[in-house]
This record gives sequence, C-alpha cells and structure tokens, in this order.
Amino acid sequence: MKTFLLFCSLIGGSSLGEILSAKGMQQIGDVSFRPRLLAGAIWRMIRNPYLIAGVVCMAVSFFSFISLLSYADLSFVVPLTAVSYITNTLGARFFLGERISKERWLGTLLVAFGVALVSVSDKLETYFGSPR
Amino acid sequence: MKTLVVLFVAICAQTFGDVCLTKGMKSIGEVNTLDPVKLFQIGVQVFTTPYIWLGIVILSIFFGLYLVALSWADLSFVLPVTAFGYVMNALMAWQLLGEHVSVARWLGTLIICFGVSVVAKTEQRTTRQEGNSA
Repeated sequence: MKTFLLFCSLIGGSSLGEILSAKGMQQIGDVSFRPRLLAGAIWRMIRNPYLIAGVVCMAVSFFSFISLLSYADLSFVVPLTAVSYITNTLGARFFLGERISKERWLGTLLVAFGVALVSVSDKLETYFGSPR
Repeated sequence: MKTLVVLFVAICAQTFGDVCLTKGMKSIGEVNTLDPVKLFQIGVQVFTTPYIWLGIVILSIFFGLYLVALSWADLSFVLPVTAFGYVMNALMAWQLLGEHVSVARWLGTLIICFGVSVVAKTEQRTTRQEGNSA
C-alpha cells in the first residue's frame, strides 16, 4: 500500500510538474538568447506561479523516488517510470490542449517501450544468462 | 531545428551532469546509516565535494535549456525527444566507463532512437502562445 502511494506520487508529481512548467513557459512566451531579452525572461520565470508549482511537484516526485529506492528493488521501480511518458502525453492533450498526432503517439509509445526494456535489461540478463 | 539543437545540448549537459554526480557520490561511499549525526556529516561532505557542485551547476544548465525548449515547442514533443539521453547513457557506459552493455539494453536503446526520430518529425507546436513573444 505504501509502495502504491509512493508510486502514485512519483508518477503524479512528475506529470503534474511537467505540465505546470510547460503551462508556465507557454505564458512566458518564446525565450530569446539575446542577453537583455533573456534576463527579462528569467525575471518573469522566477515569479511565474505555474513554474514555481511545477518545480515543487518535481521535488515531491524526486523525494518519492528516493524513498522508494531506499527499500524497493531498483529493477522494480525504474521500469515503472516509463509509464510517465504516457501519462505526460495524456496530460499535454487534456490540460495543455496540444494536438497529439498518430505519429507522435506512435513515437511516444516506442520511446516508453524502449525505456522499459532498457531498465529491465539487467534483470533479463540474470534470468537468461549471458556470456561475460 | 533550433529546438532540436538546444535539446541536444541539454541532453549532453544532463548526461555529463549525471556522470559528475555519480563520481561525487561514489567518492563519498555508500550511505547506509540513519543516525542523524552521521547523516549530517555526510551532508557536509556532499556539499564540499567539487564534483557534486559541478554536477549541480551542469544540471541547472540542463533544466534552463529544457525550459527554453518548452517555450518554443509542445511538451508532448520535448519530452519523448529527451529520452535520447538513454542512448547517450548507453554510449557513455560502453565507451567511457567500459561497462558491459547487455543485448536487451542495446535493443531498448535502438527502439528509443527509432521512437525519438518518429516524434522529431512531427509538428513542434500545436498550441497558440498565450503570452507575447519576448
């Protein structure tokens, strides 16, 4: 139960954090690298409520991750984070109004699948054995 | 195009920053105590390790560039593209750190590459900007 709650706050915190910071950056508008404009953008960014809330959410997610790692198996926790690619894309669709084309869904699912595979790769190897 | 360039630099910074943090934490050693006094001592050690500071600075640069990319493109575009970091990590582990990279990890890395290239071809922004461009 504790694991489930921590997992929810890990995924929920990271998705919410990403969505809030994206929302904040939508409000800031296109950032330019010209020094004076950049300084202005940074000044507006550190006072933007969405960005601040986003960073707080990401911090909550990070601490849930650390607490999970302190007792759960790493090879159990990390593959699950691949889910966040899907929850984030759903969030972008419904809260930010982004239009997700078929190609983008396909690419995102491939990425999530690849990330899951990378994070279980060590475990697969111990199961099936492999010459070192 | 500029979004992809900035994201590429950000991903390089992230990979490099993670390496610095790992190096710094490895030099401190495994943390397996809950004794507050010892934890405090470890905390002091963490914040006096140059590699950790370097890692934090580089990761802040990553986050700044990531936010800049978000100001130009969709979240659903930027996020899958940053998964390219896994590819960089596999290459670093293989070439620089001399680690053994399993077949399954290479396969997953290839699938990520393919997914990123599919997403990178889609339209970068599908929403209207709310703020005025700076």
